[in-house]
Amino acid sequence: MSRADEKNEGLAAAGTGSAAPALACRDLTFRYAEGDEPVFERVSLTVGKGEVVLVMGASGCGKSTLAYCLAGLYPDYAGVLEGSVEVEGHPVAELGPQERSRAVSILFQNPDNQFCMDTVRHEVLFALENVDYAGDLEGRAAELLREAGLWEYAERPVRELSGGTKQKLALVTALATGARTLVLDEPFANLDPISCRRLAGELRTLNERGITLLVVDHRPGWWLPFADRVVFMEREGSLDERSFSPSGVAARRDEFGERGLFLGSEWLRGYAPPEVSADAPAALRARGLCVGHGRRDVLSGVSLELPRGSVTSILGTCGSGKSTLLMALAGAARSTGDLRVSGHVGLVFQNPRFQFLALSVLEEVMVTLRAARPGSPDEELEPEARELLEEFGLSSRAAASPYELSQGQQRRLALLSMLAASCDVLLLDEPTYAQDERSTRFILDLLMERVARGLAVLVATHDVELARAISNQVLLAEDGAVRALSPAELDRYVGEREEPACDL
Amino acid sequence: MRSLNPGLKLLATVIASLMLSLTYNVPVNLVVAASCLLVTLLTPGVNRRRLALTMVPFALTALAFFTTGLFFGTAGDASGVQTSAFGQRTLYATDWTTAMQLASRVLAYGGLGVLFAFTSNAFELVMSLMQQFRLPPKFAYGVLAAYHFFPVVTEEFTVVGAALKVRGVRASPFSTKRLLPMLAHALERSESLAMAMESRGFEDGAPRRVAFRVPVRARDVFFLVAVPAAIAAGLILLR
Repeated sequence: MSRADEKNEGLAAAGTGSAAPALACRDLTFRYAEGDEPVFERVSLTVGKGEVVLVMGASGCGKSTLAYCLAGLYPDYAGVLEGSVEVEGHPVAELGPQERSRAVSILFQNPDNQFCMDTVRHEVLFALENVDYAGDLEGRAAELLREAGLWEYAERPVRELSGGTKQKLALVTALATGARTLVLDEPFANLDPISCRRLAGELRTLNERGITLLVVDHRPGWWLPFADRVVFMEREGSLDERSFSPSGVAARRDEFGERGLFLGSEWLRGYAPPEVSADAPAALRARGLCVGHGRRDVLSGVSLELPRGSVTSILGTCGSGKSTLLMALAGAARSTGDLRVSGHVGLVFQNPRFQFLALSVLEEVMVTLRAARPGSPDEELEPEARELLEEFGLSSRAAASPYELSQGQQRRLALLSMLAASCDVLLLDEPTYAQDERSTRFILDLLMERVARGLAVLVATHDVELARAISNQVLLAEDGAVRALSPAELDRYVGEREEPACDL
Repeated sequence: MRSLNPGLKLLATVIASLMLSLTYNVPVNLVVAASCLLVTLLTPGVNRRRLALTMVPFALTALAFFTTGLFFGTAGDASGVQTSAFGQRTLYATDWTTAMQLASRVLAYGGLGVLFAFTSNAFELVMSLMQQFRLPPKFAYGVLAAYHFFPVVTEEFTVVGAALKVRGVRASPFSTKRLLPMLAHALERSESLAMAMESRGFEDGAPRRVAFRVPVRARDVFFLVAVPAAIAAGLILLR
């Protein structure tokens, strides 16, 4: 039977219910706590055997929550669930973790928090031990690692791997349990484009061998070439009824836009690098800078200049030293060499949660204002803080804890908590990661407006197309050094890495 | 030394320390300390510099106990030691014996400690505790995960420190401002780790294969019996 036939059979089964679908939920209602407003209500979704289903939706619409419910993790770990979830025809709530993982396993967004053993080989063996694998454990582990091209890493400590390799290892461990269905929760969020492409290729091959994939992602590009269906996450009702095939994506461009979702790189058309006069003074200048952790230099001989009112981007794979450079430029990591800064330097971290210091959103902004203007009374600062919250679309959440906010809101708050101190230079680490188009635009618009007023910006990012669209200069961190990319080099670099086009 | 079963080795070490803590035999203490250090040194692959550094606190503590014992021994009027120079009393100590007993005991503990620590592997120890001492797998793998996360936590500490610095907030290393984000993160991480383990099929109480057998062999049992026996013999023979 051809792959298409198998798929059709799977789909038919999903429709008629003659054979059990890989994953199915009916009338699912989820609340984080009893009596809370539900995250979604009476939602139904059926994923046939061998299907690839891409779930898209705005940040905070509950698509990750749905993924966790389907993988059987919720409500054990959080919340209250009504309705039924079935894995290959068995109610998921009745399966213990061991049995469940033989049917369905999940890959998380953050590649770091999913391993508990020291080396790559031990991690795979751990999964095999868990499911009480009946054959030769060592042999099976070796086989799985060889298939994924990870054999050379077998004895390497897990924490030394790059983000892409970690996600690959997570994939191998999920397969080691024998799972026939994989739930993927934004698995590419932390990866550079080359790793995304490789991993997408790997997943495609797995699907061809019959593995069912349920993918939650903001960027459809990597998935559309082999997805069977695209599903928009809704607050209630049947998701299947409104699902469509990837060939229907182009016709729904407007709907993607209305929902604030990414579709290709069209959304970048409205952006252009800011106009910078040739004699704009440098807000930050580095010459022959060496930066690193402890005694080890990560980057050396770094020379760069950030003129006022300009945007600079820095590209490079995970672990190429981009984050370390930003920390050093902000004076928070070791650096030697010549570094001149006029004014205050702000830094927005990749994970905004690291930089929250207060218990409420308003207080978070006040912390910065107080530090920036010691001696000013709170009564004077508070109206200003509220005004800033208004501008950043956060005023309705002023009393909430920063940790309660959605990802997009957290990112805006992190940006605000830096900008409130009236920075002259702002360094941003992956400002657009794991967000929908609407929140990404919101942040970019806020940022570009400050740039127009003279802020100098340096952005470290994996989004090569974004970098090209908004930057006056683009740098590349590679092999322990940083160099500027010429327009031709940049075009080639982007060309090798851009997401597949979404007009199928 | 390395090939011994780490669980039994730990048990032997604990029994040995208990025996020493109930007795006051200076020669035995010194022999134990010296032989432990010698065996550790002779074990291939032991980092000698780290070994020396590890022994420094023990040596200092031993010295401190020695002087304390020497000057503030038993009752004030006990027979003591007195030296003088130029008519001045330079040393007035009450008790050599107490001093030596305390100091040599610290050295013996140190010796046993490094013997175990430098020749054992954390991973094998946990496996052995699980297989021979019935440590629940949930606890064992939790400990291993925490152990492997240690470098990540130190990195987070640096990042949070950087975040504070960039915002112009001064905070001491143990301030709540620093600990709050780290605590929030630790909770988040422990939850996602638990979810990851579960989705990889980990279930407490379910039957599981064992890929890493840490065997108990004749030499492990011999070690377990021989070490306490040797100490007992020493305690009887050496006076």
